[in-house]
Amino acid sequence: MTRHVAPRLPAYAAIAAAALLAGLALGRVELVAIASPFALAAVAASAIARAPKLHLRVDLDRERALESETVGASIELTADAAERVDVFLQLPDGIAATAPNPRAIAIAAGEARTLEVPLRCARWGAYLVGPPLVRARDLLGFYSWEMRIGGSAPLRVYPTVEALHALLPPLDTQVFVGNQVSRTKGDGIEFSDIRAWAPGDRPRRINWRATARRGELWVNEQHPERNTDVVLFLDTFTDARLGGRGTLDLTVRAATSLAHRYLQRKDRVGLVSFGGFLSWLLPASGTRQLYRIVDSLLQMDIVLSFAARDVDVLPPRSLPPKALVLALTPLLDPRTPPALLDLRARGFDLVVVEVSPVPFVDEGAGELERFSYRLWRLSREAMRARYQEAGIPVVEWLDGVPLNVPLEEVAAFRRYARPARA
Amino acid sequence: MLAYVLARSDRATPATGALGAAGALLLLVALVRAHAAVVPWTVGLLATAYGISLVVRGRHLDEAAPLVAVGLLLCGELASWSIDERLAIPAEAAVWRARALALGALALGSLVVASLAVALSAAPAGAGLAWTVLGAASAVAVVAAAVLLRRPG
Repeated sequence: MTRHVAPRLPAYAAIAAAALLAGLALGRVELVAIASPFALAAVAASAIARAPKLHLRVDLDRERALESETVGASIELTADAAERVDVFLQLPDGIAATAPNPRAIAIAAGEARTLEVPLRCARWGAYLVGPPLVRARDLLGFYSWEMRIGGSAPLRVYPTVEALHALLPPLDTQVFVGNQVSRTKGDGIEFSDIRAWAPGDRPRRINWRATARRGELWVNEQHPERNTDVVLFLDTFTDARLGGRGTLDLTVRAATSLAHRYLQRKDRVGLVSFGGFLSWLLPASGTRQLYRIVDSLLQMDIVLSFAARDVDVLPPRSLPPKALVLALTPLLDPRTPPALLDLRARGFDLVVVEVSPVPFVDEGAGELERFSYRLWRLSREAMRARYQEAGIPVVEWLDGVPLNVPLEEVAAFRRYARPARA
Repeated sequence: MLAYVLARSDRATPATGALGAAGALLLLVALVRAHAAVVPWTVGLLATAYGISLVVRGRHLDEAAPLVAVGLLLCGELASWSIDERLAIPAEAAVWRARALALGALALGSLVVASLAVALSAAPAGAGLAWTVLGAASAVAVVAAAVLLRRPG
């Protein structure tokens, strides 16, 4: 607790002293009268001033919320007596109060007051709300005591999930049962082909119409339903930001939406955060994996690093064979393109969704700036062309455009330009 | 306050007028720029102007001195309150009420004390060493209080 004295209090004492001395020296009682209110104020303020005993607790009505939702914070305050208490709930960036914050209240002795502060979750992230800053003042504001009490309350704000109409099917499926129709033939529901009967075929698979027409036994073949492995490869080296929005926000929102939808389809989803701080989650399925992924995404931040990184630093299990690697990257850091080309060279089914930094970059006013901007745009085009030459579908995703659009573009690319198999 | 001082000082108008105007200007600056530390200087300047007018007028007792004193205090307190409220902190009505009541009580108490001082001086109590010692002790006590208040903590 820090005590502050208003600058006018010692000044009042000085005025009173000067007026008294002058009154004494000049023999004028009027100056004594002038001194008396200031002396009275100084003495009374010092006599009645005492540090208040404050107890404070911060509670949130829930610990988890979605972006743009409102969470109620309540500050419970008790004090022996305080004529004026200014309470300011410290809020991290991304959380905003929709009610006045700070607020000044008066508390009677033993009274418990509860302040309600609705909080709007503007941006995803893992936050600590509080601790509140409290300033208690005496009646006339001569003394004040400032303290930070009450602790803080954790709040996790999850990114909103975008509705995705279709997902990218991987080129290969895994061996476990899932919702993805495999390209291979086996036991399943989806009709694939017919073939001549072979010993061991079940009678119920006999295609009687073909058998009748050809005079020998023919059986149906099906495509089995399998699951797939999807690895969300997030480039967290750099972030282009403008006006509270940035490429990292878009990346996290897209990753959450994709993880949610792939896990709904019983696929296994893994996560690789490739940046200054390297982290990964091994592919798994189920709701717990979704929570793991989202919690991991909430911690995601840009960590500046100049260390050389390539995909060799990743554990092999984080990138299982035949996995669809969906890279979400602004393609700003020079370490990302070689890593992605390396993944492609290793035979991974790679798709690059370029989270475009263009909307977050100011073109500039000067001719030189505009020229540099155009050069930068051209260099990005060249980079995209290099990916396409390597058979990697790369699509630009602009802020404000639904994620469905780039996914559809990739699907179209893959329909017409299937990558050559190693 | 400035008008009162100017109205009652005939010969010292240039000095009191200049000091009072400086005080008023300083008050204006303090209010516009929200400098709470400047407010006591304003009060000090106005008090000095009043003191000069007293000296120039001679031995006549100014019966309005308690009102001038309370006026000076209210000037400082209301200006400080105004500056405090610049911090856009919405306050409950109870907070405003409590401060207004406290300020009123302080003004009333000050008026009583100042009037008592003026009334006692007019009473035929005589003069002497005891009164001088009492006055000196009061002055020293106020200075001691000021020193104590200056202590950090």
